[in-house]
Amino acid sequence: MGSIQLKDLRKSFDGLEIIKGVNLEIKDGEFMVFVGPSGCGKSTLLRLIAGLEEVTSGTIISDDRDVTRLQPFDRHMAMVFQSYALYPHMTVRQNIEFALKTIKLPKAEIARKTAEAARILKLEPYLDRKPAALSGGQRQRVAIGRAIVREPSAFLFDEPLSNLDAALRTETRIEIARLHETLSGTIIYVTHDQVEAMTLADRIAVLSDGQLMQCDTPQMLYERPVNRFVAQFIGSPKMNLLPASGEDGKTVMLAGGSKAITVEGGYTGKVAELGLRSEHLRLGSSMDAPLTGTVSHVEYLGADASIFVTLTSGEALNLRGVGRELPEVGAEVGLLFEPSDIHLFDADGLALREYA
Amino acid sequence: MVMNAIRWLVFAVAALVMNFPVIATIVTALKTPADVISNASLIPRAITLDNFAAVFTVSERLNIWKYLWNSLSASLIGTILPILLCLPLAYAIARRDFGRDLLLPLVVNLRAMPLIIFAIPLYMMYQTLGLLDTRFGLGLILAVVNLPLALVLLTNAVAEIPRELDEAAGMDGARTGRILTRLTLPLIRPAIATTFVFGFITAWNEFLFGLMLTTSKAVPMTVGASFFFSAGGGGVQWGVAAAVIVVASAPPVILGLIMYRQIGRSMLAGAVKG
Ligand SMILES: Nc1ncnc2c1ncn2[C@@H]1O[C@H](COP(=O)(O)OP(=O)(O)O)[C@@H](O)[C@H]1O
Ligand SMILES: [Mg+2]
Repeated sequence: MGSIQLKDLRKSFDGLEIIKGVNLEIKDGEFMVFVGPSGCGKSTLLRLIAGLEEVTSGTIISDDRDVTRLQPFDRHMAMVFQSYALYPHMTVRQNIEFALKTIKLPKAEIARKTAEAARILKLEPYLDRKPAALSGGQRQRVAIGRAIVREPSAFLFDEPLSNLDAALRTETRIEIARLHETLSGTIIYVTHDQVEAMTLADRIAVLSDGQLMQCDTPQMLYERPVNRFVAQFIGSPKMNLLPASGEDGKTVMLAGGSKAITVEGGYTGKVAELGLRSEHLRLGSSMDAPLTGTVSHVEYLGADASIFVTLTSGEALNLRGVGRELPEVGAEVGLLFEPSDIHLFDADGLALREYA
Repeated sequence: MVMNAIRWLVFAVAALVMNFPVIATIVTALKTPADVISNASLIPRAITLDNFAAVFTVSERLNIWKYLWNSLSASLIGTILPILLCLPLAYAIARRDFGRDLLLPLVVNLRAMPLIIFAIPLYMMYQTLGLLDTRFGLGLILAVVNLPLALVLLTNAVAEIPRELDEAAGMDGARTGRILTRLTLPLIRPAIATTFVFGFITAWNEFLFGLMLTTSKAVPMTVGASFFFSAGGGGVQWGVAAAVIVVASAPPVILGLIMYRQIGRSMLAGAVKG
């Protein structure tokens, strides 16, 4: 109940291809997050799954049933819209009941399900209010309530937190995570925010320009991005990239460097860039470090700090500083890293490292 | 303080100037015949309701109740019919892009033509169909007059409803019929009220077709009012004429007063965004 398969899914608007052949399997009960920059086609992909847009080509399978050409309702999915799309002339109760009344459920059952949803979402005090008299967070919960009473096989969320302020966003994020445990239904959740994606997802599908870049667990995306796009999109601050070379499958050389770096496990292909996350860089003496440069800026964040360094070669990169001993701006520093932490990319941005 | 006083003075003068015809008519209706002739002032020497009484009794031939009823029934047909016809069309245009590029401009441009153009073909058509001098016939042509306004107002109102509401209802299992009745219709109620009020005012005040297409049974109030000017025989009885105009103008004014809260309102607060 709730597995979804996308097979070579494509969508064009007026001849312009927006979704360019997506293959993906979402498991029953999984919390799947679609993440990617604004305009990459996340909403379109979600709307294709919901049945709100007609598929140009490809297949959508839901629980072994081909639903590609079915009406939205017949797909047994519920959607929470980015704008909430509440029925403004109806009370909260009427909003939640609408779907149940549409399928003409017995009155007692409608009342029971509505009460249950209101309880789970703490909406009981507001049942007789109109949406206009609710706060953003409450409207959000009504939108979710409208979805859960239907007991769908999958919930589709389109950027549900984007209209909330920062404090409420964290709170609601935790609520949604808890809701997933309670309901144990499949969730497809669209966001452009990689922090939301990392914290909520069982697996994340990273999209760019209508194509699926990589779909994996948050940890795997972080540790083993398959290309430069994923490497830079997941993780904050962005992964540092430095020009490098190597094609022997064992060692790489930083541009302008003197010492070859031995790559654990080896790699295949022709290296063009070496990637290092800011938390994998350490400050050291400039004598024996593989990278040297000058501190250009320090951002103190309390728990840690972002240190910006301009390398001798002219490249800029950042690293995480911890503790109270932060370098002065203008200080000459050396940067150290473990060879196991490096990422390698070829000229096309494909990741090259082999992992055991 | 002084500024405020000046502001009120300006308002008062403006209100007086703009409403001068209305005030003059009402005052004349309240004057005695002698007063009308000898006293041009806006303040009558004595107030009388005789003119109003005369409107209802002045002549066997002139039945103001009949004119009012004719106008009311023809105007209601001429207002409600276009709303009923345009509701599904407005939905089709706004949501399915049906005829947006052709039908909408065509219908709207039709309204730009002087109505007299329709006079001759319409008369001949009505003669053949036996619609001359009938309330239904008059109502039909008033419906044609009101159709473009209804179409534009209702189409815009439907287009203003966020599409996501329809989509949400669709995901909730509602088909087009239920979406129309449970979602679209309640949400465009203010536009329906606006269409109704303006359509009714237009229909009620219509004179040309009333004059042309009716002779006795279905004469509307606008045409009937003109009969009163010489009702007593001899010269124009200004007091009675003024009284009949006041009575004839009352229904749309009363409707406007009752419905003005509905006009221009939006039902969409709280639908989208936080
Ligand atoms: N109905 C539509 N007609 C034409 N273009 C559309 C339509 N819907 C979306 N697009 C285009 O598809 C692209 C992806 O949009 P969308 O899926 O909303 O992106 P995202 O949700 O990732 O920000 C955008 O370039 C957008 O302009
Ligand atoms: Mg979007």
